Parts: sequence; structure tokens; C-alpha cells
Amino acid sequence: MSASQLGLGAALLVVCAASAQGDIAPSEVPHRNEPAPRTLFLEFKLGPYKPLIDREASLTGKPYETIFGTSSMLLFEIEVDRIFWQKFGTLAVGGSAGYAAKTGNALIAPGNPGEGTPSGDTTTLRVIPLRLMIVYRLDVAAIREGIPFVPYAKTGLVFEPWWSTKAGSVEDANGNRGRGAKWGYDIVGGIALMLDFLEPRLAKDFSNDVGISHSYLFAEYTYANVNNFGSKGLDLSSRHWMFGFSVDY
Amino acid sequence: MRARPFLALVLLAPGLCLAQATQTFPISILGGYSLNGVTRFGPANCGQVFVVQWGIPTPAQITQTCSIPEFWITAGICGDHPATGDVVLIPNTPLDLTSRSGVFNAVGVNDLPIFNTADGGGACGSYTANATLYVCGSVQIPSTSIGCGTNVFLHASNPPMQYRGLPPPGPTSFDVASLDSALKVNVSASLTDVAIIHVEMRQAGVGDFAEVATFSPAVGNAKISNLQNGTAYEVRAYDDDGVGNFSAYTDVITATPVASDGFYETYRRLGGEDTGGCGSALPGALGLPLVVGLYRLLRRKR
Repeated sequence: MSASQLGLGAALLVVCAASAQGDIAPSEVPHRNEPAPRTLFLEFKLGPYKPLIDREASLTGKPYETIFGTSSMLLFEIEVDRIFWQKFGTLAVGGSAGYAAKTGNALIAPGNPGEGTPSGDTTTLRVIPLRLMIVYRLDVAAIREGIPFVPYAKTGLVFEPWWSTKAGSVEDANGNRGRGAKWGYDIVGGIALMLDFLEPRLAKDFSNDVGISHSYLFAEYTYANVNNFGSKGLDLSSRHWMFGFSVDY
Repeated sequence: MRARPFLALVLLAPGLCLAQATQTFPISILGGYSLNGVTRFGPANCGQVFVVQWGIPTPAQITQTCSIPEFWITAGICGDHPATGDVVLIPNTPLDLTSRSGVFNAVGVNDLPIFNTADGGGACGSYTANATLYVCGSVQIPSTSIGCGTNVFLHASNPPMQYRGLPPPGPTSFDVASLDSALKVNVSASLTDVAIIHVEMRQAGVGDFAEVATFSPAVGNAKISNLQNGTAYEVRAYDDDGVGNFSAYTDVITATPVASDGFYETYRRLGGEDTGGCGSALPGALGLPLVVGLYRLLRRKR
């Protein structure tokens, strides 16, 4: 048997196997390197968020640490990105909304017995970070070559409403209500692990049946300055990690 | 070969009987105070009445009855028929073999079997014990599918009811926490014996105690607001079983509301300059064109 005959036999075997698996005609077998068109990214993420409130220049103490200690808030965010360009990687515009809260004991007010010690009242700081951003994902190698790592970067505007309550009601300090919102910007860098390589067949079924092209686990670092671009007042800036799960459609 | 169907019948019949005999039909009690699924009565209910309803499951489940249903209230065990001293319930319309549901004439709490003074029982209100009674019902049904002849008793759900003549135990723990312009009262009490916890308060040494809060043992606490910081208040509590019996008062606790600073007040006191609000208009002016531009970009892509 010649080499050409062997080659022909192998080719026939491959075509037969492909046809038997999916009843797909050889001409319809999708090319491995053709990326499926995608339009949306959806991310769910959690991470420790500790606003840099105590670095405000005018402060003579550390209000965040005094009330809440050294631990962070737990921030939960959902992000949706609309892909508008996908050639060498993808470019998208995205929006996200999150929520975090931290509760501690209020302190007995000055001039009272036991002043400065924890009182029976609780006080809570809540924030809702809203982001509008541009996202670039370098997923060429993942889509075309199956290398499962996708580095990415994001940057955009942040708008962050906040409010502080004591015993369930928004605080009032000498006529100033303890609620407001801060503007800022953020820069995010991260890396995602494309999960398709774990179960390629399942991933393909997921894509065909549900329309989800890929799923990822990711970690990202956020550098956010949220202090009305350097104005005085509450500083909700942070440097924190977020971890999550995402899918693209 | 002929013995086989007979053998099968002999083997299956006890199971059939057992299946029917273990079934019950519902009775419900309307009146009194229901706690943890048990209807309770007490001194507060003396002179009042309550109503009993019953119903046999649909013909699909119980195809035939072979006797007129009987219903009664006992302080002992239910059995198949009322015993001496039990209170027989009188239907408001006569029952017959086709009756499958109904309501009885209202029963006076004073007429419960435990108040049979002829045998030494006390009258309602002066009865000083906690007693459990049952509302019983029974009817005969066929033990096989052949029909009436060999019957078994189908019993009602026989719901328990209580008459409580003893006071409930007092709170098992009681403390008061000082808050800003408020006090928080925490009380623990028996979940089975106590229906309501009452909290009374007065300014220390001034006037009479007045009730300021009530809650169930499952809730366990109440916040008393709009108090004066720096003023001492005396607080006490007692338990109520919901039917007119009350525990003794707890010891009096004196507590003083105290002003406190939350996060924002602490931030301001330490020199924080944020006075609330949504920041300057400049970022908003930057953000608006961005949102409009984004919207137009997405529309163009479609």
C-alpha cells in the first residue's frame, strides 16, 4: 500500500467520523479558526472593596477604621458589555452596577459617659458603584488557537451613590444628610480563563443550544479614583481585586 | 388452583383494613387562641363559645359510611364512642348515613368536661390546672370493597385543645440596651407556654408604669423610640399566655438612652468635608455626551 493510498484512507476516515458524529456534510464542517460572532459579555463578580475614605486630607482621624475596623466591604457587581468590534481581539462598551455595605457599632457621642466606646446602635455605609467603560479583550489566541487565557483592560467613568444610616435611618450631622454621590474614573486590568478546554464538547453544545459562545473565570485589579476628580469630600477611591464568572453571546 | 384467589384475599385484606383504619378525617375548631397549632382557652374565655366543623374526605377516598358519625369532647382518650362525662357535640342539622361534613351548635367554654363540678371539677375561671382535651369523631366504614357488614372505625383527626388555669412561666432572660433616643428591650420566654410578652416602662421614679410594647417570644425584642437622651427609664416585662393568665413581673431594669455618632457623624466630627449631595455638575456634563454618543454608536451598529 502506497503512501498516497494511506493518506486517502485516513482522509476518508476523518470525513466519515465527522459525518457520523454530527451528520454534517464535509463542506459544512466549520473551520476551527473561524471565531463565532459574539455581541455581548455578561459578568458576575465579587471582591473586597475598601474605600480610601481615611486618606481625605482634612481628616484628623480615621472614620472608616474607627467604625468598621480594618476589614473591607464585600462588593458584588454585574457588568454587561456590548461588543462593537472584533478582529484582533474585541472592543466593547460596557456598563456595570454593584452594591456593597458595611455595618459597625456607632460610638457614644462626646460629652456622655463612655464617650467614644461602641454604643448599642448600629451604623451602615452603603455604596452603589455604577460604571460606564470601554473594554478591550485580547482573545485572539483563545478563539483561534485554543490558548485559554484572555488578558483584558477596561477604563471609564464611575458614578457612586452612597449613604450612611444609623439605626436604620439616614444620618443627619448638624443639618447635613449623610448621603450623596461621587464621580470618578477607573482603570481595570485582568485575565480570564476560558473554560472551553475543560469540556470542549459541552462548550460546543452550550453554544449551539443556549447561544453562549464561551464561559470564563476571571480575576481583575481595579484602580479607581472616585473623589469628584480630586475635589474635597468623601473619597470612595479604591484599589481592589474582583473575581468572577462571565459568559459571552 | 381455586385456593389462590382466596389466599390472595386473605393476604391483602388486613392491609386494606389497615390502610383505611389509619386514615383520619379533619375537624377544625373556630374560637379560642391558637398557638403552635393547639387551640387554647383560659379564664378570659369563660362565658364564650367556640364552634367545631368536620368533613369526611371526598367519595373518591371514602366511598361509603356504615354509621351516623359521632362527635364529642373528652378530657381522656377518644376511643370509638363518647364515654361518660364527655360532651357530645350536637350537629346544627341532623346527620345521616350520607352526611360528609357539617357544623355543630356552638359549645360554651364553661361546658367543657373538666368543669363537671358533680365529680369534683372546678368551675371555669376557678380551675387551677392546665388540661388537655380532644375533639373526637368517629364513623364506621366498610373494611372491604364488598360494602357495609364487616366495618372498621374511621376516626377524626382528634385535634387537641387546652384549658389553661395556671399562669405561664415568667421571662427566662430580660435585658435593656441603651440606644440614641431609644431603648432596646430583649426578652426570652417559653415558645410553647407564652403567647405575648408585655413591656412596661416609666421615667425613673415618676408616675405609673405603662405598656410600651408587646411582641411574641419568637420575635423576642422591641425598640422603644422617641425617648430623651440622658433621662433614666425603668423597664419591666411579663408573659401572657393569650387566654387570661399572666406571669409575675421581671425585676425592674433602669436604663438611660445615650446619644451616639454613626459613621457619617463620626466622619464629620473628625473633619470630613463632605456635606452630602451629588457632587459638581461638571462630571455630569461630561457624562451626558458620553451616554448619548454610546447610544448613537449602538444604534448605528444595528
